[in-house]
Amino acid sequence: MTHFGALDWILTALSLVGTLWIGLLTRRYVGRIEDYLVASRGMGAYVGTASLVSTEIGIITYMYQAQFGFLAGFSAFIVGVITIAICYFVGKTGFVITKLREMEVMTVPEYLERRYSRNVRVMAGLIMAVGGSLNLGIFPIIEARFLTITTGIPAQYVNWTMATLLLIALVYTAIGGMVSLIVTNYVQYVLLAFGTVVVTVAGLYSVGWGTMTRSVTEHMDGRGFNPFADLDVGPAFILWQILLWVALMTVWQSAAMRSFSAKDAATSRKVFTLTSFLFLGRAVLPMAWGIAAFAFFWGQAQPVLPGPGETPVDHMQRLDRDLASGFAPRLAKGEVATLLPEIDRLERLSAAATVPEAKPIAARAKGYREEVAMVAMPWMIATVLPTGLVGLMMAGMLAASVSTYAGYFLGWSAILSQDVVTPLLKRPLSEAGKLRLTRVTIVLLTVFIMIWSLVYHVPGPAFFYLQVTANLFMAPTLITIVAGLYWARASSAGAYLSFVLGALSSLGYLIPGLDLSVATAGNASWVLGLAGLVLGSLVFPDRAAKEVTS
Amino acid sequence: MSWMALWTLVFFVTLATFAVISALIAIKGIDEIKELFRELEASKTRRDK
Repeated sequence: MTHFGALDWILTALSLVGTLWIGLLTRRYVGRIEDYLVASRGMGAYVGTASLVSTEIGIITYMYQAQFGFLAGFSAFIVGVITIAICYFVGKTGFVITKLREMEVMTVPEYLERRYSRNVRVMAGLIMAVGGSLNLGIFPIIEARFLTITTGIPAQYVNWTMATLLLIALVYTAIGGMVSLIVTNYVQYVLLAFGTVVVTVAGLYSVGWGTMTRSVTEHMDGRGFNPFADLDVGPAFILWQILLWVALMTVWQSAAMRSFSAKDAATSRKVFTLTSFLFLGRAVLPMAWGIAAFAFFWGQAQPVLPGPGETPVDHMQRLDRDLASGFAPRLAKGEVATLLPEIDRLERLSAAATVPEAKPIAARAKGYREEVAMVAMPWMIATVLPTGLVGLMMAGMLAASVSTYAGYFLGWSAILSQDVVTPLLKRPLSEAGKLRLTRVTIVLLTVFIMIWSLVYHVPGPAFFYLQVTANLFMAPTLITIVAGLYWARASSAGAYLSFVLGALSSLGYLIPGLDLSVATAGNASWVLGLAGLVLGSLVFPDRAAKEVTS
Repeated sequence: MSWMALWTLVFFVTLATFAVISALIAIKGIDEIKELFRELEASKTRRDK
């Protein structure tokens, strides 16, 4: 039962109206495409940090990080440690970002044209736009679940709520571009940071750190602490995360745009150094909410026992039947405390059984656990946060969400308009034409996202889906950019091959039936992307030598 | 150091750092926003002339 009351609705509505109003105030400053995409390169370090972090934190972030914490326990924290290490390294050394900032590009693929060819820019832009849109496409449906649970909005109206949020982000982003983003992101960051601290303290107060550690020890069978030994995490996953985060911190369009918008290269490095500490919180704090939810619901759970005379196989089959018919409605009612021990028992029985149907039952049980893990955190929040506080939390969460949509709309539409459509036009566009084109692509992107979120079913944990769709182009993008900056022999053919092979291996995870693990698909993308670049460059060198850094 | 002790330390340091840097952003960000507006206004005036 949620405590979301009239006061909470007022706080939430005020935060949204305020954001829209501030976003629209900035429209008078946008006259050129450079104002629109990189705010005339006038962004300071603290506002830049707020802008970068609020773009990269949405309700979706809290949901998938909490899901990962619920499933992997404290081992999930390793992702936060990797994030701070990589981001701090990028901030201190200026790896890739300094050179790109000094070259004054506005999008990542723009560099690829300067270094390789126009066709490489178009192909890279297309793959980035597709991967980025697929990534963004599942945000609304997952965030809708959070809103339904925490506010009590009936499910039939939640799509309209999401459409309203998208519309708010669309309006001020399309009109004010990066200038509008920077200013709204500042306000949104303050709200989301406050909301994050409120939920963390409330979770700690309600559940307790000791209960969280005890619950992981008791219910994860020795897993949940050592990331190197856990099957869900493990060395291959850690290696992939390190590579992926280097790419996310340097060439992920929405992050790179903050670097391009900074006053100078030193400011952009400072943004990344400050961000590193906040990105640790972006991972660890919501993961801890997931662990708190795990402990909270196990604390209310009752043992699941077999019926009189029931064999383990009979018990497994009965549980499987019961969950097949009752799982979805019970989850919608928030019966996490009774579902969790039943799923746990089903997993144990199916792992021990030798009958042929045990394997599909085990797969179904894993799916049920992932579903429960996704919604356990919002159900806990709805239960433990009182009226007033839940409204403040919601203002923070919606601010996080709207800022993410706005940042991603601008990032991916900039690539679509500047790197895919514009280079293919026969004559150059005027400044007004470029602005109009970018605004039209923002609108089209919003429509696509609304449709995709309604028709697509996410395979496995959302955390993995989001990272694999990013990996679709992250590996080849970083490889071709680093090679372009530091290896004179890197050629256009090598860049093509790198993008094609890197993208194909990531797709292996998304195609049903291939059963490729997320870490295998992720690491294969890096190996094949690098092999493609080296082989393509050595076998098909460019005829004319290209400038390496500018 | 055990994994449990390490993660306990990581969590509480993270929470404290997150709160402090966020407060810093809230305070120092206002001046940067004002400066950005000044620069954009100047740029607009130059363009309009």
